[in-house]
Amino acid sequence: MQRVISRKVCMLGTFGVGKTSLVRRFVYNRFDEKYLSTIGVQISQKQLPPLQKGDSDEFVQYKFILWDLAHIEKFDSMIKNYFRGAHGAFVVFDLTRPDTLQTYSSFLDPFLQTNPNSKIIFIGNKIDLIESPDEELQQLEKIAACFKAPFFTTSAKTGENVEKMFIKMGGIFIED
Amino acid sequence: MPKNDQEAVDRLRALILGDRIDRIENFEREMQELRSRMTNEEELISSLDPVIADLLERKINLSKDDMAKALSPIMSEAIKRQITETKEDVVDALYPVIGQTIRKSVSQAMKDMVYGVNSRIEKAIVRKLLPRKLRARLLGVPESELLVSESLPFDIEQIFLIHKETGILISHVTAESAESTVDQELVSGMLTAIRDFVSEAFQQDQKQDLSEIEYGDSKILLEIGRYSYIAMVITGMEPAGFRQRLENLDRRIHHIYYKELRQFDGDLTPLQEIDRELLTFIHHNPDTDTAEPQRKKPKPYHKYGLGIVLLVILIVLAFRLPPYLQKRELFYQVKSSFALLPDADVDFYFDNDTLLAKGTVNSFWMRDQIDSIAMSISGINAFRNLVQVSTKPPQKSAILAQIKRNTAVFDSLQFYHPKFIVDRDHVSIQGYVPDARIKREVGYLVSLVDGIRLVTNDAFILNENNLSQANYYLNRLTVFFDPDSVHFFQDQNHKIDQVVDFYSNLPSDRIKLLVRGFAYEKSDYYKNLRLSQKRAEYVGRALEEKNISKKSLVIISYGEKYPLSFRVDHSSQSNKNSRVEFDLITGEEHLAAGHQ
Repeated sequence: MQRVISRKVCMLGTFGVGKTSLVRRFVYNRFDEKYLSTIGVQISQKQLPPLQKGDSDEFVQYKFILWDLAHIEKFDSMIKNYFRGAHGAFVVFDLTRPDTLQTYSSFLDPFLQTNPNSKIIFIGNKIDLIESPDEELQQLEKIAACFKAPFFTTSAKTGENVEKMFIKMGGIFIED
Repeated sequence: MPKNDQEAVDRLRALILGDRIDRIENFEREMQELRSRMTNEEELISSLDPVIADLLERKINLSKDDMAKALSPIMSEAIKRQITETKEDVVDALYPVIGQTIRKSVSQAMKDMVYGVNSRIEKAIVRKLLPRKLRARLLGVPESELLVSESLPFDIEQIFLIHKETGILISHVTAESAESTVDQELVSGMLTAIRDFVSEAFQQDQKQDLSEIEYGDSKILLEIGRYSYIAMVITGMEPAGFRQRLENLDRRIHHIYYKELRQFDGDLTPLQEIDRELLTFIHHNPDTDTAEPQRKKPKPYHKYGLGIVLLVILIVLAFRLPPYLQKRELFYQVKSSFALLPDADVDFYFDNDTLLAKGTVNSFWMRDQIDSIAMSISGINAFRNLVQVSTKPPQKSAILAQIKRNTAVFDSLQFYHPKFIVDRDHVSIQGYVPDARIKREVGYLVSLVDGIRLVTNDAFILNENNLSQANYYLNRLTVFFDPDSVHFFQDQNHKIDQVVDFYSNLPSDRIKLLVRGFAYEKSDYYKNLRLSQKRAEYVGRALEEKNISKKSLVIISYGEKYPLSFRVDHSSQSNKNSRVEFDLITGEEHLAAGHQ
């Protein structure tokens, strides 16, 4: 038996961390990016391959409705509306800019307030630009540990781990 | 001028003008340039273009009336000439600007008008209940406006049902005529985002929802429910009451799928049937052009056409109906006149004023009968008998049917119970009739039947005052018994049946059936009397078993009286005495019989 389940997943992160690039790498079906600057959100859709539910015969195919939220600071007051009903979120950092690892609480806290049961995955993007990312990785690992959430280092440029991070989100949903 | 002189003049100029010589030369150059610009049209336009618009705007703002007065004669003349000379170019040039403006303006005017009419219709309860003319009068709007509002094109292109919180698409249906090229999941997500954006950006104090988004000639109507909202893409003007129907659709969906919507987690399986609800809305919405084909309303000129057709029909009827009714009356008269004839294969019809008879009969006599009957009918001016005489012998059933028709006139008489037994061309009349005259007439009418050559009339006369012939008939039905036995022979059963058949058809209760028992085989008088009694009673019981009532029977035992043979040797002759006879008696005779 196979079911298709739609899930709303938000892309969180400050300006320039590579959220849109990750989505662009993962999906092809998306709205014009001009909406990002107009109303602060771009919607994309991607269907995962079917995932088996435990040892059962049941397969679930997740359809991710990706809400790429831009200018979180600019649209601060209305961002909570966009968070509503989200089943999961990718919190994206730019490994080349350590300051991005410090400011996540400004959007993650309201997100989790709005969706306390939502699943989180932390992403350290632009790994291809870091020669020895030990320090950044340690920090990313710490943050993820705080939220008991998985993390990935990715590169939207090379595609490294991009598909994996989305599959992982599907895995978390199916285990839930 | 000699060279030296020229040089001297130059020196003098230099002394007088000093450094102003360069300025003068510059001035001359500029003058030359200006002159060339003035003479070169292209250059003049490019020079004035940047300033002329500003200059005109400033001038117009400062003294509109003066400018209008000054420019009017020139402008109007120029425009006239331009339009006359290059009409098509002007149209092409103005279309993008004016066309759009006019379209917008007209569209807005139409919308305002329709909204106005619709809002008035909404407030009234007269919609669809009254004719348009009356509705228009009651609503206080011109009928033409009402007609426009009702006839503007309106289509539902797509319907989205979207989960309110997540923006996940629950259901999406498209009208057959519409095409959807965009990913609906994305549309539903974006619509939700736009809703959230508008809600937050413009209506922070009042939590009102975005109810529609307009783009070009299309519109997205949003109906926000508790857990989901409907986004309906429409084109044209939404008719009066449509919003209410949309709201009802939302209510209906929430009513049916309340639990599933409340617990929605992205799994669409429990909500699959919603598609049908939405499709039903599209296809059964009376306002849409995409709805299933409705019964077309006749156009006004159809009404006129119908009226003309009706008028023509009425005129035709006025001229043709009275003769038609007359002829129909005559035709019924013909049919009833020929009712007594064997009309199985004969048809009658009118050719103009001539009555025609066509078909087949079995005798020339019958054919002549048709002639004489037809000519006896009043109103028949001309008659043509095209009936043919068949040489084929008629069927037994046809003969019986004809006999029945011929003698039907007697059917209502009392004591009229003839039986017609047909054997090829021979008919035997049996049963009874009330008197001798009727017996003769029946015989005659039977003899008239096609194909009958011989009639034997054995019917007997029977009435309350004349039972003798009936009794003679019944005497033939005497039942015989074995000697010393109270049981009759088995082969006598048919006689009992005949007696029952005969007696049960008699119309008078006053006539009783006398059952008389006889015995002549014992030497003892009383033994013979008892034996005859038992035989009569036995036959009486047999009659009763066949529904002859006990009251109708008079059982009498005669013992050894009236022997038909005096022999007691059990020969066939002596057996004639072991019998039960039947007679009919009236009430008075009954009393007399009781005394025997």
